[in-house]
Amino acid sequence: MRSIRFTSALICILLVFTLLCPLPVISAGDEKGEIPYADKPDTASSPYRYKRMDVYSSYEAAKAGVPEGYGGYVMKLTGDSSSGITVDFSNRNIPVTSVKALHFRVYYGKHTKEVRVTTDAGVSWVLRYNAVKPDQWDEIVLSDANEIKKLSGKNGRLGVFGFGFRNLDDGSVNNVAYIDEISVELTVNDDIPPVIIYDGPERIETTASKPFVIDAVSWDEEENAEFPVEYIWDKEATDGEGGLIKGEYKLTLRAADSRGNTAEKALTVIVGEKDTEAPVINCRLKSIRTVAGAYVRLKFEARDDHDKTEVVQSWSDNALDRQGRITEGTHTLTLTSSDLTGNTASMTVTVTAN
Amino acid sequence: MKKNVPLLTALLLVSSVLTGACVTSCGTGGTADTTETEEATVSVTEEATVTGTEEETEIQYEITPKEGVTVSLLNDIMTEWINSYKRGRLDKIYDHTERCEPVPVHFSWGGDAEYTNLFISENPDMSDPVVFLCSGSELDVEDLLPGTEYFWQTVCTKDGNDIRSDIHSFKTLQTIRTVYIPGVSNVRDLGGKKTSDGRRVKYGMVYRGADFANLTDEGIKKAVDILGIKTELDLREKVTGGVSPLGKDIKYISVTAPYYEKIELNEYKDDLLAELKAFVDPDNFPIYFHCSLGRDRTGTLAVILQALLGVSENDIYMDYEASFFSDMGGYADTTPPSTMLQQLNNLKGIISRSAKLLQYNTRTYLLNLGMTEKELDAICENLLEDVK
Repeated sequence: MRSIRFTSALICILLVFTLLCPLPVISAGDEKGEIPYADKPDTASSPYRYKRMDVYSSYEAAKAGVPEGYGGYVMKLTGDSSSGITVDFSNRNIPVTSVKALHFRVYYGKHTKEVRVTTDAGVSWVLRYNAVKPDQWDEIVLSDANEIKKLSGKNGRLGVFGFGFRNLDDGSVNNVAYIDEISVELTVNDDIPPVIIYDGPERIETTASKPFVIDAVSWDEEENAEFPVEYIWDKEATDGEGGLIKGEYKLTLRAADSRGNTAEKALTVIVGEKDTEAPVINCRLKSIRTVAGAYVRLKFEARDDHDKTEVVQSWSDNALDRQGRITEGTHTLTLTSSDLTGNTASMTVTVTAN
Repeated sequence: MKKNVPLLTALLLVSSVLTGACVTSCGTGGTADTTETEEATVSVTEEATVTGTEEETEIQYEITPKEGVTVSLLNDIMTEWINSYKRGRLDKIYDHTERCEPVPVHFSWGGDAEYTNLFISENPDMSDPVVFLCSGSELDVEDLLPGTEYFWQTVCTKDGNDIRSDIHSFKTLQTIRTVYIPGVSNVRDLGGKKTSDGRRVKYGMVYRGADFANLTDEGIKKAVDILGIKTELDLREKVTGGVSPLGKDIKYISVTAPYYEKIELNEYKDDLLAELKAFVDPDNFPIYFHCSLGRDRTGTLAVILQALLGVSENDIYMDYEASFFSDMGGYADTTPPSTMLQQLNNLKGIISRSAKLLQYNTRTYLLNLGMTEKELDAICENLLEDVK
């Protein structure tokens, strides 16, 4: 089973679409709607009540002294014996049976006794969490399926509930708590395998004694993730050093997502005689003249019958300064190119900088 | 966009000796369309004279930048914003894409040389050039300066013979200077801005930007070896014994910097003084100063510095607002630029009650803060130069 979390109204709408299609959506969660409250600052409609509610952007939060560790918008609640808000998911059309967990990211002080969720104005409780981590950001998870079902509103959709902080009856007043995020983690059925992305030929011809290298990756749209591609050979294809053995093989590319949905692609690999020819460096130059202090931007290429190769440049000692500029004098530039079998070509160019 | 333009005829001289300074042009110049203001590729016909053989051949090639063109070192979106700049108009929060980066100038000169020495100079006689030794017939050159006329020339070598081109020229658009340091967002050079006394802020002395949290090895190399940064001024928090991510040889100064109206709070007075005193010692330059995003604490210091130097208020605001084009400065929270600009207005209100007297009042403000006349003069001396 896979889960998706979302935190904003926008993401919620997309997620409903996801359930039908399905397409994966992973939340970014930096919108004001990440706390889907129904209350207004000047009306204490929550069963918990509050003396004051403020919603800050992160910039405003920093100025207001909200403890660091929040992301995006953050809500500040001030109350005496309790404070809380009315959370309203009713317009978001989320089947309560698809809810895997609810996450509440909050910050409370040492005068807070419990963090609670209720659907009936505090008569009974869906969640009573002991506030054991005061003065730090705490993530509270409601994952009991039976309790989550109690949050069902009309038509089995996630509805309205109260969420808040119950403080100690110690006479403390103006107790402050913060809510950074209230998010829903969903369970989505996924029976679609990943896609193996390979643009090469189905019949691959290569040579012996070198590693087998192709460009194959997999992508799973439902999980929005890449999964490793496994190479399954019909018989032993490599020697003890990882080089291919001459012969003809059936190769199966296989990729599986986290649910075990598997995709396969069959290829034929023909391994011929070992390549013994080195690449040819495309440079006829024996010498180059330049100015001392010049920035070196030389590029060279090499061709090879079987492999893509690059040319590595190495300079004699002190030829280049820290900025990559050539120093005065005569220097040796060595160009080297190797193929996958290990055949290597090398040549030198004299570079004189006056 | 490619347009029909007159062909440029130039004479190239083939020489077997490459002169180091490249101070003379063997070309005859030629006619060129100088009315074009956009970068374009133009088909050019040149005549080449081969020394010794008296043989003349005609070479077809394309050159860029086109003769006389003005190129912007900023991407299109920032260029458009600057060309029609109006304070406070920016209202968009971007999407974690770094748009506050320079665009290299693309040089191409055609031909089939085995290698080429490309000379770029700020002087018509090609003195004091920057030289690039390159293969191929094109090169992207980074870190040119805005508002500058450049002259360039190639010496292409084939079969041991050097072919020296005409001297070409182009200009760079006068803009703020964004700088690319791999792994660092929102980097700008404060240089290039004209001041009220007719001078300008030196390039390459003071860089502002975001923190080094994602700094790469390439970024260190660029910052230290290419930009030559000697001092990191970290505005995030005062720490004891801190070491710059740029290396132990880099001087590291850290303060808990105030931003916007917080500069008025007495608790930040010593930190604010420490920030400013970093610019007094000429041995500290070039300086890179930063906070986390490179926008608020960094922006506050940038405003004070530039106001002290006599940079126009418009240029100060433009430099501030440019942060919103960056990954870090433009997206880290969702506070719109218009709201942030109000913070900047508050800051300006503290250091100056009148736009015309911004520089004078900033100086007065800093003297009251505890800076001395001598220190403020030293900052100006370190950072200002006469315009050529």
